[in-house]
Amino acid sequence: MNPGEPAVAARERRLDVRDLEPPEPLERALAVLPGLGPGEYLHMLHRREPLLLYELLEAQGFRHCAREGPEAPWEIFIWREGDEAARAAAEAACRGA
Amino acid sequence: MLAGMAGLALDRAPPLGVPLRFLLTAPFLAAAAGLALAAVGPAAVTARLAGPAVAAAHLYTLGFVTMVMCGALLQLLPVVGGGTVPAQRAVAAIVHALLAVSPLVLGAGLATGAGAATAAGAALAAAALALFCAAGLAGVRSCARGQDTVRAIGAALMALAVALAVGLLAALGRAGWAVPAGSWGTLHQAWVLLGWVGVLVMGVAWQVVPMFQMTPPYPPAARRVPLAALLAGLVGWSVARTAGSAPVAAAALAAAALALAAFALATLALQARRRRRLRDATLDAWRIAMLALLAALACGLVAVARPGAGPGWAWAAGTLYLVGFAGSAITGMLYKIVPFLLWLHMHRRLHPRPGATARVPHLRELLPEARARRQLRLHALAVALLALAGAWPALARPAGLVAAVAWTLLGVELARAALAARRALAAAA
Repeated sequence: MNPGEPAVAARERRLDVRDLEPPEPLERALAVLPGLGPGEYLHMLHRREPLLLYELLEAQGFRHCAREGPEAPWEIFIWREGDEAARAAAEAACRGA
Repeated sequence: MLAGMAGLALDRAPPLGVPLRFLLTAPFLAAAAGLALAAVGPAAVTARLAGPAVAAAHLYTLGFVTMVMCGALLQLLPVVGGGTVPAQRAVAAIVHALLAVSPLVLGAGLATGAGAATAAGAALAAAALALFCAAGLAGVRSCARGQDTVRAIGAALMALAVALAVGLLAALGRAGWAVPAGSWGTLHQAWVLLGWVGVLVMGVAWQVVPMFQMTPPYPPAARRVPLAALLAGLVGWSVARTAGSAPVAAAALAAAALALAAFALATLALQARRRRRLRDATLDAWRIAMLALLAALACGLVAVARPGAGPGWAWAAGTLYLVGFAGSAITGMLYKIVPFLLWLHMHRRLHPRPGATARVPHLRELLPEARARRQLRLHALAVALLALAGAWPALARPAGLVAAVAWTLLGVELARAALAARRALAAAA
């Protein structure tokens, strides 16, 4: 982002995969992620920690943070690498701020 | 193998061919066991300790049950426990080849009374299992995390080593060699059924049931107490039986049986609490497995309490345990695991970097639910016929034929899934 340009507003996109069996949670996430716009991050609600997804995220150019609860057993926040607005918002949401 | 599990070390997963060769081969050896049973006919029930019946049983337990379990462990140990199985490709190739051949040689020897073939088949099986136990236990020791499933795997491998040792003595004695006196055959059966099969299915269930059937996790007490009771019961029974103490042996066997019953009831209870209400073939296969386990324990209780009641109760207990319980659980697991391993392999090959657009077939395209259900219906029919043969031995022949068709169908469906994955990769190349 260049000086003088308006800051990009961060937006959350939600994906609830708690009732899906493997590998549908991963498939849904990978289908949604390419469509994330500037400032957008994905907030996944999951039954378990999706370690397989983490492995694939890095290769696809995304970063993540995760926490246990309160809305789901696991909540994962994913943003596009290089998108600072999305990163800051996702990490703040992950910390519960 | 199992996506979304906390603590999975997926970068340690072995190459696809390491577990897949076991999982694709096993159903066809089970089909051979079904045909062998059909050939033996009613004598399988009325003379179940005679050579031909024992031959058919070993085709199934070595060629199918142990074959699948070895393949599953080679996948589970690195991924769930973070351990390293030394020389996994070589171990997989050697163990797979020996497990494919040894039950055929052993079976031929047992069925015909040819001592040399019996000894040779036993030696080949012993070589396969000794190598697998050594490599597997090395893998268990290398696991950094003290997970309950890893502990169960270690216990099951040690039970397999004991079963192997006493089984070798039983086979050599049968082949006419001079071996120390002892009921090696009975000990071998107990350590195979309870120690190898029972403990391992239990340990694997703690992973696959919550994962693929969308149930809550097994509570720690529901894992640790049955495992400890099963192992203590098996060891206690073996020692008491050898020492000639019948009351202690009976109490120990009861403890082992209660442990298995507790596992079955805990699994059924978890299934009743699953989030997603949609049924599938895997869920139903595991329900059949747990109900068959309870039925097997009941039949076993009758067989022990009323030894003069004839061989039917023992036959029913054995077939319900091996085919109804272990066979159904394995079948349900294969419906999910083989397509998942194929899907994972395709995804890694086709989507290695951002922007990749090649389409990866969904799991349900690799093994459609309708085809899994068709196979499960045949399998359930085989289980029922096998158990009923205990009362009507004439059913043994049709039971064997139905089982052979059911297992062949399973092998064909898994092979079709593998071919579909290969075609998808070729199309994207």
